[in-house]
Amino acid sequence: MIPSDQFVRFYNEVFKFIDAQGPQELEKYYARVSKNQEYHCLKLFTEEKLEGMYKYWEHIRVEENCDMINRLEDGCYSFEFFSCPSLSKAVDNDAGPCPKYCNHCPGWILPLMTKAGVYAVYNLIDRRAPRCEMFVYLTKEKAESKRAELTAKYGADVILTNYQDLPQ
Amino acid sequence: MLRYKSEGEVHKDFHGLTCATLHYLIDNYGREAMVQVLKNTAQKVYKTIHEELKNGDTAELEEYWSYYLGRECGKFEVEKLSDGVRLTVTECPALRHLVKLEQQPDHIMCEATRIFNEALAEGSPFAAELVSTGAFSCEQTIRRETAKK
Repeated sequence: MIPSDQFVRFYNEVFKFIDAQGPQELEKYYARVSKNQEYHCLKLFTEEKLEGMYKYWEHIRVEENCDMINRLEDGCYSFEFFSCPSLSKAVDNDAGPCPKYCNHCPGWILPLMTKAGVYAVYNLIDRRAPRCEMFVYLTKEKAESKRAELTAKYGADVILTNYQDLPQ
Repeated sequence: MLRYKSEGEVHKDFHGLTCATLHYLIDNYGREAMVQVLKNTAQKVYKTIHEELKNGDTAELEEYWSYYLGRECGKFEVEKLSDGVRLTVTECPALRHLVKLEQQPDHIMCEATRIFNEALAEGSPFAAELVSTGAFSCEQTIRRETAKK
């Protein structure tokens, strides 16, 4: 058995292997992970939108022992990880972290946001540090304003959105 | 001494993603891909257990089994043998959690454990064996090669 506590370090080796198979291979895998995650949260996100997201990540905050803040205010759901337990484990690892490790979170989350019909802006901040944040809105206008603000501060390389293909 | 220890809550839903990932590797890159990833995990991530086994010592593996199966509330026993160690699992928490996730108790998880244990023991005086004893149970042994029957 791969213990749940040790899943992250196995996952990290999966990323390294798949990334070596060619460009876009990791993106295909993230799509599979996202499909898997639908079981846990698509209904919640689709039916309850921002409130459902708050409930899901509050559960994750407790069960995955996350040093993070969940917020639901002013028509925005957001989380902020101060010390992501996932990347922290990948770094504290005799095999070393996959440089693209952080990409998997927006990789599975953003497609779910699209299916839920909301507009998300994901800020990876720095792929070498266990910190990130995400902002989710019901309108593209608000999301675009946040994207512009974060891009100016952190750079376009670490800012990802789901809403390019969504209707306004 | 165990290299990695986790505290706090346990997020057992990772078993579902482990299962899906094992299938993904086989379906997209072949069985050898799954073997390679598990081998890297066993020998590079769990380098200290692998190195200890190569030096003839099963202590960290015993601690690893006891610690993590205990955290997952599995029903198991770790037994020190004169020539190695035996893990008897009577209720596997990973397979049981798959059922909770409305999945079948997929025995690709057992196959992955067998490959993982063999990779841990590779290059050591020990041989790894996993025998399924039921839908949610198995016996895993790491014994000196000369003691194998």
